[in-house]
Amino acid sequence: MSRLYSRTMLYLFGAMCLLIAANAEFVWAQSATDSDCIYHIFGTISDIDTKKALPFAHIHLNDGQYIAISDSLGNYSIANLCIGTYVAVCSHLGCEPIEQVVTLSNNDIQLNFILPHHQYELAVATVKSSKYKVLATQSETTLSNQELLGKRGESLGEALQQISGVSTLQSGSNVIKPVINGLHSQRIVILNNGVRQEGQQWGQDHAPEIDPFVADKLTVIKGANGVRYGADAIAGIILVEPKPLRYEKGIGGELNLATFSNGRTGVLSGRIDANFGFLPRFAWRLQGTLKRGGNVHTPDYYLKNTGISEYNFSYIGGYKNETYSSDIFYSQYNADIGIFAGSHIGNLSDLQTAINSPSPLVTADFSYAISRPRQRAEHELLKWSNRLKINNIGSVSLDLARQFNRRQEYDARRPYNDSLAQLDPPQLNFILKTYTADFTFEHRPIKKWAGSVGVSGMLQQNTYSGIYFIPKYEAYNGGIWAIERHKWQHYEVELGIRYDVRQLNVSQPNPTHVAHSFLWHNISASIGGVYRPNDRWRVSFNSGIAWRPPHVSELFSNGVHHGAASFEIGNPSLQTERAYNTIAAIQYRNKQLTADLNLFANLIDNYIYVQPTLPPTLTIRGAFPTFLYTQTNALLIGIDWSVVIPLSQHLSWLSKASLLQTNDLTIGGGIPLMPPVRFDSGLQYQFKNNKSLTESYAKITVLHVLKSAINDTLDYAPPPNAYLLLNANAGTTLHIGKQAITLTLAVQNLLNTSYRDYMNRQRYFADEIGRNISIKINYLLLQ
Amino acid sequence: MKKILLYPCLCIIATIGGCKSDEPCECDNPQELITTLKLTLTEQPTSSDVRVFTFSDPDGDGGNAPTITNATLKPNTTYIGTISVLDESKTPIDDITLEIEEEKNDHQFFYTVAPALNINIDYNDIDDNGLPIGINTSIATGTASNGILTVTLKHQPGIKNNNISAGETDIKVDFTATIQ
Repeated sequence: MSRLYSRTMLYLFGAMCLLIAANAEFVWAQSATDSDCIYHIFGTISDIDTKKALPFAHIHLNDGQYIAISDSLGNYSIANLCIGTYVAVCSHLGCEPIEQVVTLSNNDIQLNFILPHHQYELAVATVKSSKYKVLATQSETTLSNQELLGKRGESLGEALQQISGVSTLQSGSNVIKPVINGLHSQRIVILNNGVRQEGQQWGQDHAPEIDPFVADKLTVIKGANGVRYGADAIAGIILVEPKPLRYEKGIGGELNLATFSNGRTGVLSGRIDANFGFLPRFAWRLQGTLKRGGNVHTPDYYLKNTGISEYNFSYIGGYKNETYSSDIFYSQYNADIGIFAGSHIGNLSDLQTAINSPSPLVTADFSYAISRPRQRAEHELLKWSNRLKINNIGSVSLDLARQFNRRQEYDARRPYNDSLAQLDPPQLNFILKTYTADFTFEHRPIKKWAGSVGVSGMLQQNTYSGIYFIPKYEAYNGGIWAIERHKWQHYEVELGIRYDVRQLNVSQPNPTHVAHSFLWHNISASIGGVYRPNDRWRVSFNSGIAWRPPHVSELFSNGVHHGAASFEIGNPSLQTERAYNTIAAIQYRNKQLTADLNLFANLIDNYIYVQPTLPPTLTIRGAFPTFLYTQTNALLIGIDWSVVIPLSQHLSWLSKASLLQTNDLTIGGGIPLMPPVRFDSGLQYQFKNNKSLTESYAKITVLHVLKSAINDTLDYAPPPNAYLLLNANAGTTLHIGKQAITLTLAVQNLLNTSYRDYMNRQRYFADEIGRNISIKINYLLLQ
Repeated sequence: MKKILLYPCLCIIATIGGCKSDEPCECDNPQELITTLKLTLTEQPTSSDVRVFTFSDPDGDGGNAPTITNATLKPNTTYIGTISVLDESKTPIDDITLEIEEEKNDHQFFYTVAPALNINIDYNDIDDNGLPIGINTSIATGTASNGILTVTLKHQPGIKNNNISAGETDIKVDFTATIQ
């Protein structure tokens, strides 16, 4: 490849990277003032062949105006840079130099270089910047690359569990919901490619209908996020972000294969990205996933009817030029989930018999068959996003989306009537349609303030057929918000405010047909700061007010919740929840230690929850335990940490912990169904990279989950005992030419321990699954 | 954002992948509810006296509380007991008893009598495997007494073994029987 050609390719690639990065930042010509010279360009230099860090690489900006040399870890940092455009050139003895154009607007830029030793290899410069930047002063953790590859084939909740402070709420092994600092369901917001996932998430047994294979990056942001994403984001948000589209000519893609021994599950997923020469401004992607699993196995027995069958696909078409970009994203998720046959217990006496039995009364062998009781969840997302850069003003974006969600629940009981049984009707059938529009204006810095303002709207319609559980309703939401940031040399301050209005119109059929209308309006606010005294320390705090109106299920539930063996009754007089959430994050990074510490306190006024009530509800199937929605004032305080301590050149000690204490401020004691304290520690050995095998590692960890301290006399059974699980992982990436194959071997519950987890609602009936050996293969075709 | 503008624009583009809609019609989801259990006792041998125990919950679970009608029985008398299972939420009322009888090999009615109640209940019907069904019974009362009489219908596909603990509970009703 001639030098001229490779340069051209680099310029083209660099320009494309710039355009992608500039989604969040923007270009304008302006003479910089002293107070604008507070930004950094930093990154890592590595060798394309050995993948090792390159020390003593030279980086200079604008032909030597600024110079830096990479340290022994390959890191460099150039500080005190003004807003403007820079031509960065990176060179190293024995490597071809590489050039990259970057523009600093109101954010630091991370610019990594991968230098080639041979003429025929292309060097790569990557500019990192998140498309959906939220508050910079909150605690943010991202999973990408190795962490994500290690969890491929598993559900979203399982993949996120490796972040300290994040745990799960399960209904068996197929229904897993993420929990952030003790809160879940309607108190966290999941952004699926920038769109608020709306899919009956109020249900404790309703897992997010998202295919994790759509994502290239999973991010958890802890703290009150009401300002940017509206009501409900009390504990935090989860960002599911796909890989940016490929705007350079050619085809890229990947193939993923995962198999799990427990449940004999197989997962196949593929993605193809294309950019055709005859339409250089357009980029295309097609992606799909298939998953099939059978009955899972505890150390002692199979769980009857716990199979899963899932098929998902998505496609994106994008257009991009110098100032305008637009893309259309479509995804579909379809899952058939078997519910453990021994968990759909009815009345009080059957419940008592099942709970008192040491092993389930229903037994089974292995089977892939999924019969009643089961769930079917379908989710469809169509999104059209647009971004326009306006010279000297800023950039605007408009995102429009439609979501369609269908949830069907098939109870154990089939109709006796033959013709009806043939139709196999689900007892519960919800259809939820949501339309959203988000308009954002990110302005160029005014004086020293950088920020954005926006307006968003949502229209939602819920209908159902079959048996009543929650009513039909229509909801309208409108919000207006602003976030501003001010940066100094070592400090950063951020302020945000939002005003939302929500209207809910409900049509409730029983006991007698009544129509209800609710109107809520509230302010969310946030203030935060970051202090960065040097490259090692980063201390941030964020204090926010968020609110959450009661959900329809909390107001008007009236029915048997089979998965929970309970009859739930809503309370139409519930008041809005208001949360005051403060989170402090301390980060320390140097050669000896990587440490992250989060401290938080979340005070929630009018915290809504279900409380057992008497008398039990009498039905023809017997008396059902009954729960009534009620409110209290709750305080949640906790500490999360994640530490990596290198013990030698290759060996590291890892330690993660999540500690949470909850208080019911009205009646005393703790709040039920909160994650108990957990510690996850172990050793990781990183092998030396060689020519064909890189990122080779072996890891062994011990998970210690303590017994929940809750003293809940009204629970069906006391919390399960503490348990210890031994987990092991190993992986490597094989390079063949331009292709990379990553192999991961993981063993969960290596010792096949029998245990029950407090946050699994099936703990009353059965143990957790036993040893699970999985093999994952990721084949990356080009890039 | 008006869906009038949004929906057709975006859906046209998405028809390649298939845009989900409400079909089949979301309103079409016929359900069968078991709302009523009747235990009719006909005095033997004259068939002159009829006593009925009823559990009725016509609006299904929740909503209005179910109505239970208890019966008083004559002492030292033999009755023929007949079970009737209905779906009274439909018009006309749907009789499910026959359907249960068709699936007799997978179902059994169990009668649990409180110790204080002087009643003896024997099965009068049999399925293809020689196990009782319980739709027809022979009920013999003793001296004056009262107590709870529980009628349970269990669905036991493949596991029927004259055992009340196996399978799923489709009906479980407590009647208060008085003999005087």
